[in-house]
Amino acid sequence: MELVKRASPLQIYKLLDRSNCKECGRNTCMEFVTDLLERRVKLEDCPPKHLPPKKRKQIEELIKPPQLPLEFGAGKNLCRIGGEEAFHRHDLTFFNPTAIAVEVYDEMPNLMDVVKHLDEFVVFRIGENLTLDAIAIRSSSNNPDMYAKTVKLVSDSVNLPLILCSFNPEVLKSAAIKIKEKKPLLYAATKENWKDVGKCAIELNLPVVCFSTDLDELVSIAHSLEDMGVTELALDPGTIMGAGYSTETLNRIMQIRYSSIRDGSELTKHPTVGVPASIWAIDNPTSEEELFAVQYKEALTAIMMLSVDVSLVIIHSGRTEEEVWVPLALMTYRQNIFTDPRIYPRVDAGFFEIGSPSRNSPIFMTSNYRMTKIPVEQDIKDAHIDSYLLVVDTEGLGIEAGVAGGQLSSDKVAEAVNDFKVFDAVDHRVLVIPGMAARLSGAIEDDANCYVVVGPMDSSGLQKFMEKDWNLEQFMKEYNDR
Amino acid sequence: MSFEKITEKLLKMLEETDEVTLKDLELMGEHLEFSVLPGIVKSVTQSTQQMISQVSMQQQLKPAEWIETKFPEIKNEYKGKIEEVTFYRNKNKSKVVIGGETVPPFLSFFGEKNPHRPVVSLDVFDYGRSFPKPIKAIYKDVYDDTVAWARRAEKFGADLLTFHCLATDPLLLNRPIKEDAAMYEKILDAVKIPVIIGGSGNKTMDPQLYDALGKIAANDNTRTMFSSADKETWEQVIPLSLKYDQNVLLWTQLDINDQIKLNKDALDAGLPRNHTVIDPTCATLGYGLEYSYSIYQRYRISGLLGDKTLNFPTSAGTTNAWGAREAWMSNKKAPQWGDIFKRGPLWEVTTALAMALCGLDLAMMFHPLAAQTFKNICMDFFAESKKVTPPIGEWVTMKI
Repeated sequence: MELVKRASPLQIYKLLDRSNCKECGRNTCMEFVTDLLERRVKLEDCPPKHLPPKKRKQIEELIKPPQLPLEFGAGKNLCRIGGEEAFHRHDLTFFNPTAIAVEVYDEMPNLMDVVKHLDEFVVFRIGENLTLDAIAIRSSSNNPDMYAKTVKLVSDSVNLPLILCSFNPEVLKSAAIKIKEKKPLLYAATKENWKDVGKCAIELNLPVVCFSTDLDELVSIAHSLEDMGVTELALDPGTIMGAGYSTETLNRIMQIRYSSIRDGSELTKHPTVGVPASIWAIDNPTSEEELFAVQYKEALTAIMMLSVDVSLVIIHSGRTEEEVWVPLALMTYRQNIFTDPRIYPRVDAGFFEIGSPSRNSPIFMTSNYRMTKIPVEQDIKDAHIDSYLLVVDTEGLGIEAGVAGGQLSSDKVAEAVNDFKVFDAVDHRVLVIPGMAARLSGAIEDDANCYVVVGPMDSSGLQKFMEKDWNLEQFMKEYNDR
Repeated sequence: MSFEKITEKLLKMLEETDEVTLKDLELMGEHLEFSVLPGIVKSVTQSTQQMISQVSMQQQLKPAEWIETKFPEIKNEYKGKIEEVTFYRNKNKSKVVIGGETVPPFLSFFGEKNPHRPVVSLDVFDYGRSFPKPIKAIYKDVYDDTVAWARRAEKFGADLLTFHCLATDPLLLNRPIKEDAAMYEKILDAVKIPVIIGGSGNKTMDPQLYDALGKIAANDNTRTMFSSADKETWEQVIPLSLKYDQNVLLWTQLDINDQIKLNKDALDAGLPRNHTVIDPTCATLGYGLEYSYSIYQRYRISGLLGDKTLNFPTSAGTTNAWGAREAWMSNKKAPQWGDIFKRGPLWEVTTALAMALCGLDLAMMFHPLAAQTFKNICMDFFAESKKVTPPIGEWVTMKI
């Protein structure tokens, strides 16, 4: 089971006309096949005249993931979840990052301010803008008119896709009908209301989340809805955390995961939903301290769900600037886990210009670990320091780890200095090394024949370093005096 | 045109056509006979069926019917077992056991439960450095009093402590090992839990350090762990572990082949399997955590599937999380990330939880709030299941 059952490239290649027509934007049909399997190109990009419907259908079947994808939202503001085929991240890669939605409710006093905040929320990290994926609106009023009015108002003023939350089909439908073109996700169909929610979903052509903490009941709801004609479904097996509950919650998620992605069962082929926000219905914080504890509990429940590739999580914390640390941790974790594991942590060693360096510009040194080199480069750019960056081959390890394990040593630095003819680019012999590599400073001076300045512990301090500590004349004087 | 000719022409046309639509056609006759090719009949039936199904969709002719369905059975394919490793003080007066897993972390639906929850070791450093503000707030007054530091960490609920002898690195303080040995002896007197012996990372000094502190542990009737041996030091460290009956942490850096080789070398040199803990390196949230996530998971799954080269309990230094700027950067410098006293510890406990879900047995942690939170989460996972379901559905109508 460790191996993901994937279509082989040749299986697909045989079904193409192998004309290498280039109309898909690839040079060859084989390249198209490789990119198709990596989901970098869509099957529709192969023009009909080159691929008859019958063969197209065969390929579709071959590349169909064991977990169906589901889309909600419309136009540019789509939220695409599920569609996974790797049981473990290292088996292949996770394709669709867990969507993170923050929830609000129709009677919320400052609702419009909050949804605007959520809509515009963005964190810039390592070259990527991290944003939320959806807003979930609950009906606390349980009043169809009020809910419909509120949902419409929110829908008109935000871009994010919406999730409509109520167990009352009438309430759900009243709002869904108003914004059906924006294709909201309906939450949720239960054993009690599934017929009416299903009817609403069919009439308005909307996707539905099924909810039950009993797995037999959950697949029964899904199965019954499918039989009725609902095609887009997601499964929420319930989120309860705490002593005696945490294992059950994880068990349910994992049973669905084993069944769908490992075993390929038809009954569980839908994306999954987790609702860490539901913790707030059980844990009622009454003090500042308790509030903090529940926020932690919620955040870590979401972390657990991201870890096991749950398709969508709905959280409560994160509505205000003050609570930014919750979505920050989640979005950072998501950025990590949904990175393709086939991308090696190592980047090319080398000697790079940043900005427009002169003969007196500083030379900074760093490692060739992706997560070191990229942030360091970004920090130097952000600080507008015209300079050179020497990236030493540390076998893809960070500075601290490299110093500890010997992959970053004075020999390695000297080798890089010589190989890249580093000091030919400038009129000095000063090398700024990371604070984390301070222990190596003496040895580097000897081995690389240069003057070493120990820079800040973190590259975010480089601007301050340039203002306060960078003194080329002084450094060169000391170098020449030796 | 004769009828035969028309038919011939029609058939020829039809050969290249998928569908024929007859518009505004009137047919009159007493007796009308259609003879058509089987292929055509088929397509007529198909399109009729399609039409019918479309109509039925629109009119929802299909009645909604509850279909009682059984959740599919999940087969257990994990045949292997992770080794058990024991830490103890004074002949078992306090004891910590890790490992022994037969299924992936925290799962119980295979009918088997793992025997031990992941445990927490809190860090004690042999000298204070410039630690982030949330750490400083906890330990600043004991930076120079290692014994008081250890006592405090024990009070926070740690299962174990790790005494990091960084000052013995000649490139740092070059402190004589006997001074750290004296400190270690005092720490053992002051606390009841096992104290792991942490090296500075200096390849020459570390074996000497383990020799000196291992002897103290042995005299105390304590089995703890040398943290750590790597590809350069294992040849010196393994004999010392045998001499003093101590566990050894085999440390590699995110490289599966290095780990397999180091494990094999250590076992060949006589390290008992039940004295072996592995550390494939814990990267931090936001800065490569995914590499650790996948490597810890690969090791654990391989071990559970029966790979005898990787079925050892794992350790992770989640203290590394404090190297992430989201964790250490002050509120003044990074107001956009929220309060450091919240995001800092969260950064560490997230790192620990991520590893635990992949397969972690021993978390070496720094911040007590992160440690307590992590320990509580693990204890929750190991608590007896409750059968009553609280009304979580009320979430939908709550007014907060």
